[in-house]
Amino acid sequence: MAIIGYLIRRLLTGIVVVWLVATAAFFLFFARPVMTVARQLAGRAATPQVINEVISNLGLNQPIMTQYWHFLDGLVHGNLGYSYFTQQSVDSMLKQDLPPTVSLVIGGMILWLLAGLSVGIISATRARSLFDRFSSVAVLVGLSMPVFVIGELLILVVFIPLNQHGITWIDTGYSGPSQGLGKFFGHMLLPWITLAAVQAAVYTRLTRGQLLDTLGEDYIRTARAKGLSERRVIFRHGVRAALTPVVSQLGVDIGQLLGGVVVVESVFGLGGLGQTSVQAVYQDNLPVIIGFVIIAALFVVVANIVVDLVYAALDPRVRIT
Amino acid sequence: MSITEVEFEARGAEEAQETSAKVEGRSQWQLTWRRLRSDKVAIAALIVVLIMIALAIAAPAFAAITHHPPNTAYPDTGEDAAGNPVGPGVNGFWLGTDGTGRDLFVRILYGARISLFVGVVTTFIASAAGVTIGLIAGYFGGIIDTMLARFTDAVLAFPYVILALALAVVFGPSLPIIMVVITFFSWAGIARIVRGQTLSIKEKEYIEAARSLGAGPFRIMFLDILPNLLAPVLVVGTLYIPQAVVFESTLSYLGLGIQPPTASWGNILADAQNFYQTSWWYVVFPALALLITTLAFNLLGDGIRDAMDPRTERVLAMRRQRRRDRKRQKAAPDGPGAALPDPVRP
Amino acid sequence: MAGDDVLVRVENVVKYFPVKAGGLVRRTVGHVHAVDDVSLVIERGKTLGLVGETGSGKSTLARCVAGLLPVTSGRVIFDGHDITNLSRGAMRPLRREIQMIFQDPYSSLNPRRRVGSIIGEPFAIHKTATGAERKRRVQELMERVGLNPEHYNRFPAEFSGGQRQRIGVARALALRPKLIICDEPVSALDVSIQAQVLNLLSDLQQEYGLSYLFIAHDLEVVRHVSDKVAVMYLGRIGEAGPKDSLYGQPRHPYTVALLSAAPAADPDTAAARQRVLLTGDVPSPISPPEGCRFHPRCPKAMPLCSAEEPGLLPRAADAAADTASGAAPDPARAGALVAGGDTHLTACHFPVAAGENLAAAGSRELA
Repeated sequence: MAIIGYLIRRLLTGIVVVWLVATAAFFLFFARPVMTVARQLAGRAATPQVINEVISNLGLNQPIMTQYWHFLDGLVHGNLGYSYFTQQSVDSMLKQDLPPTVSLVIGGMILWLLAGLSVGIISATRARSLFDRFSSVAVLVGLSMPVFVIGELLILVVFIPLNQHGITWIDTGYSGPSQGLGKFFGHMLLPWITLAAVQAAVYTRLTRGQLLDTLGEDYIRTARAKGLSERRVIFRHGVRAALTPVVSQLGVDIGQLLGGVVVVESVFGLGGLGQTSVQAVYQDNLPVIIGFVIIAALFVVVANIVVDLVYAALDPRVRIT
Repeated sequence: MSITEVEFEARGAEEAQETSAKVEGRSQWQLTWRRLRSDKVAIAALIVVLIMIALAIAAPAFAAITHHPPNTAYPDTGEDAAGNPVGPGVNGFWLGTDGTGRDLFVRILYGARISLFVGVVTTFIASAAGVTIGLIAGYFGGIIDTMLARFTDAVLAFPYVILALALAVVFGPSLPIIMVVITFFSWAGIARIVRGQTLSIKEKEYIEAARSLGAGPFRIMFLDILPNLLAPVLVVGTLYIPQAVVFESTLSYLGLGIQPPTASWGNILADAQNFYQTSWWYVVFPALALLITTLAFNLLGDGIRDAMDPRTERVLAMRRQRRRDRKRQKAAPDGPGAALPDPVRP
Repeated sequence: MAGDDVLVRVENVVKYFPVKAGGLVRRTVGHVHAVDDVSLVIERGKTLGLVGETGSGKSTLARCVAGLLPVTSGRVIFDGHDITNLSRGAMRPLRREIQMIFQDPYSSLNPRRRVGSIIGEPFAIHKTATGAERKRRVQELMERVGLNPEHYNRFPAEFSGGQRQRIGVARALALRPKLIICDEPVSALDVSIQAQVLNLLSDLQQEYGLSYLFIAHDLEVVRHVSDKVAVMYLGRIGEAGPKDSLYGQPRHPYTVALLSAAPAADPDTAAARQRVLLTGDVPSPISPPEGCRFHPRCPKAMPLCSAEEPGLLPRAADAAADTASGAAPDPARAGALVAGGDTHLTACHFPVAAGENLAAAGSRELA
């Protein structure tokens, strides 16, 4: 029962956060001279006619608080505005862009959790072995590299040579699962690795450290003394305790994940939310940016709630506070 | 005197020398430096960092030597027939050229200036801000702490890209914008650590003593608590510099930061994407520069962290002892100075 | 007791700490009764010893007197000024007059600061000396407390426990305060070093006319340094009076038990002593017992003790002496009777008479 109360509290906090972000975004974008705003909303190619149309459509001449009210109203009804530049409503654009981003995020997350946790566990259990030392170096390199560098190097070293030898399975750009799973994986493999690489390094280091600390605890000695097999000791007792900091790190990383998504999409031309938003900056296309900001905030809040719930499930102490 | 007696004397003298040297009272920094000196990896990293800084400062000199200013394109010598960049060593371009025929090496050096400048300055400002906020939150507690801590957590979790995007749209991308963004997201990590440390230091008796003397809160925070914080702040700061460098290059890569033609590792690598097939050097050399810089700072930060940890002293002392024992073992095998059995690793 | 002789007057000081429960909003569910209506005086140039177990409230009381903790109710009057709950700004000038020496020599000095800076800090805070003048005075102080002035630039880690405590003394002495509150200053030191520090404190008292509030749990130490002694139990004063009177004829069963438990150097004396064993644990200060707080552990407890709280008054032989010496029982006079004064006061309905054997009574089962 306590968990329902916790959930409700988190949802309320989440709604407040999204509202705050939307408000901040609104005032940042709209609290400027009317012409500047109108021009950005209308898009680069806009004629003075279109600009005036925009001003009257969106009521940009009205007092700022009235505009704010309309803005909130629109949000609640799921209307994120209209991109004059591309002649599309922002929500439909975003819906188009969702599949690549979602595929990237989910696949990447699975990959880095698997890689990070397993390498971390093996390193901890075989501390100071060759494997451990090697993985420490790899981790350090991984931590040092920007995501886009990894992406570019992968393209240079994997995609280009393969391509030149006629192997086209690995490819840039996005191809949905509906168009063939094989093709899907071929397009997504390098992006997944790129997204996962840096994060895997972080999680490897985290898991290794936590597991080493936990394995040194007395209750582990007791478990061994009881005669449990080593594998049982490590997984049942050691890993469970080491998981909680990993989950809480996930919560922090959700935010950084968006950054990674934007970069990876740009490097591999996946055309998801991230890449579209970056292009929108070049195009001075304000409505898309606003839509992206709010969607991103929503995503962060929801993801954090999920992470907190998982954390609460793992660690009973959390629910009581 | 028998051999054993001589040995005892020698050992005693050695230890006495060491003990008397210890009585001099070394400050924490001197001890840290001693430990750092013996860490070969960290010293190598430090040297690399210094070399990078030197190269960056000397960038104009290199531009003069090669006769290639960073933003000048050389379509005749710098591009081949198809308009693609020429490779390393060709036509006096040490590392080749970029997409418009500019000297890649010189541009990389100028990019280093930007990256190191941004890295160091933003970390510095972020550290100052983070320390101050962490101190205030930790010391005053109560509602001030709750608000500051929540704010810090919010900033930590915030996706920086969104803010960068938003600011770029509103103000246009530029160097000051990314410095603001990077500083804004760096202070939070430091503030969190400082706050935690302050909370525990605050309970120590010497803080109560200072209050009983009549010291005001700011005096206590900056003269009593801060000196005890400098160690973790230094470690975190050193590790934040490479993060800031990566930040800047990522933002420049996305076009939200340094705008061409000004060279930044990020925007160089952005343009390099157009030349994967033809000019591998255009990707590899800037990437290497980035990688070496960040790796060096990370290793240095790790080294400083280990050097500050007094536990390392025990490990180093054990190693010294083992070395001494081995030497003595060779001089007088199986005498009373025989090597001690290997102690259990900590 | 003339008014002029009194440096510090503590009147009915109460200090409760709220106990908060967790939850969405943190409610206060109870209070720790750290100090519950304590009144005492400290005379100029004299030492008041404050004895008690851990949890008796003596350290809390000390901090209330020093102005480090706000009191829940009551008054603290220093040298005629009411310093109760003063703001930090108003309290500042008075901080020069009231100083503290702390218990743990290892944590009461900032490990990252040099000794000269630590001792010189009072001068810096109150802007009384700078530069070379400050250094000179710091070195003077170091010499006075028995430290080598050339160690001005050393760190606390390079000093022994006893020396560190001397640094603490030097720091407290810097501004020539009137009152020094010593919170268990020798409890963490080796016995031989204790003697040195105590002698130092005693010399300084004579030289500078200092008043001490000396807190300890070791009775012998307190006996050595104090003029008057007060015994605290669970936030209240159980017994108080001039040293000789209190140690010679302890009247409160708690005091008797404490004294009987103190180690005696002479084995014959030790063997001849009656050990009064207190049963049970010290109750929680969150819900102290009704009536006399000591009654659950007292060998002499009677039904009255759990019903009515005994006041801190002259009892038994002291009462007789009191009425005999002075005027007739007089409310004004009674108001002047407070711990730290010349009269031996006891808060007990059935004080221990001279020659009474408490050990025998202690073997009963307690309710």
